[in-house]
Amino acid sequence: MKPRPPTMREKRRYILVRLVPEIPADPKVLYTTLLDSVTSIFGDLGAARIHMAVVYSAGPYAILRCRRGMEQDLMIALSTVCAVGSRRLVVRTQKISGTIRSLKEKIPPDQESCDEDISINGESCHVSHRHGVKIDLFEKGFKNRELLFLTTMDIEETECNHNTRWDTTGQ
Amino acid sequence: MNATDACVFPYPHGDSSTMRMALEAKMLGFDSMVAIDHPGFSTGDFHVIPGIIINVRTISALGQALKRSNREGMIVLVNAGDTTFNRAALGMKGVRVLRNVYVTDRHSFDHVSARIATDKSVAIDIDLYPIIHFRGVQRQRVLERYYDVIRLQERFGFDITLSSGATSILDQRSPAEMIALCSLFGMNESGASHALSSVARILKPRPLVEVVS
Repeated sequence: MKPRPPTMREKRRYILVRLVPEIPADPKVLYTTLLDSVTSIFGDLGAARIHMAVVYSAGPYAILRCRRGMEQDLMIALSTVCAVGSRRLVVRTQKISGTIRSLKEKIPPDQESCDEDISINGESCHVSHRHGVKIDLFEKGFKNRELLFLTTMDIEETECNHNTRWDTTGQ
Repeated sequence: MNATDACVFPYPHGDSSTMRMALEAKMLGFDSMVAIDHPGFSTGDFHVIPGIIINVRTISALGQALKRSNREGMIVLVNAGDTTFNRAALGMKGVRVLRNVYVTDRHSFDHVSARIATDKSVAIDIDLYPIIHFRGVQRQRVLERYYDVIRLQERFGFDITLSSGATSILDQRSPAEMIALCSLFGMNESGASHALSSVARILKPRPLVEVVS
């Protein structure tokens, strides 16, 4: 089959996104979630106009495709994503470009996953992710699997003040 | 302060500490945020402004709450109620922002309330949390109410504040995303940018009489 000449092809834009917390997501699940979000806010007609697709996924980063001129609408839809599957997360737009290659260059090399336990006031906590002073952790135990987003300063402060206990119930 | 998130709820309301939310807001492009029930502080060029939400149904209760909570440099936000309550609340000294307008009846914030808000320099908060988290009819209702608020704002010119209403860093959105979300209910880019800097104007209101020479 003869390919369509470049001048007759539709122009596309590619968006580099980062998932926070930085846990890799299955591209298919990510696509259905994003499409659901696009359809929810712009309807079927808007979704067809945006023509969104997940073209590349590497760890917490993904490259999305859309029709040129529809980047703003896709950005709005991305900002309304609150969860992928059963996991709470946010999709942060990093960069918009006309080529996939230029966006791939912007993806930082793989960071080593953090797998350590720390103790706060005698409570054992599992560190899920650590980046600079930022620490994502959850308290150990089958009941509590909600992430807490803290900093090293918060942990030092909590160590000083033994009466404070990080607890997702807020009690 | 060019871009301020007008209302966030750090721990214990949510799962993120004030410092972590401040770092996230700074990374997203804000230069300040209003943290509810937390003391204010600054980290570098980022400012955390203390805020308090008053959630009462009667004017007398609001008056008592205002006496207890009105402090220098603190943003006092009042949850909106019915028409009478809103009109009275907007006229009370110490009230800086009226929020949760989308929860109330359609006629609770009307042209009379809009004029009082303009005269008394009270801002109306546009909380983006329901637009991000609600789906279907619920979100349509919120968009409808915000569209009405924007129409009144264009006519009367009262201040608007934009807030994420975030209880976690996962709920925080960048100024660019907030501006984009505002386009959903008819707020233009310049209007949304102006709204992001409203908190600075609320903290330092223009004097009634200005000496020019």
